[in-house]
Amino acid sequence: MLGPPSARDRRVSRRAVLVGTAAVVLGAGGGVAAGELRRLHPHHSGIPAPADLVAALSAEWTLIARVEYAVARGSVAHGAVAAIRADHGAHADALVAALRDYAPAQVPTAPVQTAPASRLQLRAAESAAATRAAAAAARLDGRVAVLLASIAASEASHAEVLA
Amino acid sequence: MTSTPLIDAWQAALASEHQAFFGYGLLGPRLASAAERARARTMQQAHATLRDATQAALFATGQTPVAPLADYPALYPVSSPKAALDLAVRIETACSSAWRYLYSVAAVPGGDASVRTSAQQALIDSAVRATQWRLSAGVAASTVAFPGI
Repeated sequence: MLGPPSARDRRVSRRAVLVGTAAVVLGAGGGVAAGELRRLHPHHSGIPAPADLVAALSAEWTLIARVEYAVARGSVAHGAVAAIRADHGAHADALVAALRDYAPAQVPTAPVQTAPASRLQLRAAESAAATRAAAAAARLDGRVAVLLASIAASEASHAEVLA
Repeated sequence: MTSTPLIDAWQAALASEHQAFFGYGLLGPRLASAAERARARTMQQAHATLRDATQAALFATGQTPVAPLADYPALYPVSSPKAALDLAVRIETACSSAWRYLYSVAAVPGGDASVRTSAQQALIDSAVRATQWRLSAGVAASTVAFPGI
């Protein structure tokens, strides 16, 4: 489903979060999944969640963490990326909602951010995320494909803001 | 001419490109700076290229592409630089919606992958152009979470 985490990722984040039948509460300050689990939709389809959808949610959490880390480090002004942070939050919410239609899935949380996070690095991350989301959309069908197609467009526009 | 949901959505996307080409001709001269006017010309050309490619693709499937309208009253008036920027955002937003809708119609099992690829790229391009215009207009929220919706 998902590639193995890097050695650093394993050190800083061994948690995984269940979604699907669970509600995931995003950390109020950290923006990373806090792991509060609750049964909300006990009547999911039982179909395994598409790996691309799970990976997309994990990618959103990672992008949120990167943006927040960059703001905390002073690499970018909060005002410059507030809308981008909000967009990623909306993406994550939509992906969590979409995953509720499937059997519970393990979604790796974002690794703790320690690497430099300049504006240009954020831009590269957004651009790469857009490419990945478009490719994932092309491998899926139906409303989840359309969701990822739209997320890809949003993330491409984030890269434009960070140019 | 065959009418199916896919063809109808494709024709609607083409119609949005016709409108965009017309609209940039309308708003371009109203923009405040030479840089913005140059960008408008570049974007108008991008829409023309996409329009032509879309027409060719529709022809190739045996369809008669929709023609542009003689006028687009909904785009008027464009009486100031701000109105020109607002119209540019509206035009790109309309294109995003049309291409996203085409994507949704094509995103079915066994759907036409080439149509999806074209629609995805057009959706991305329109979203990015809309963002550029929002940045020019000084809009704080220059991006949207779900372009085309």
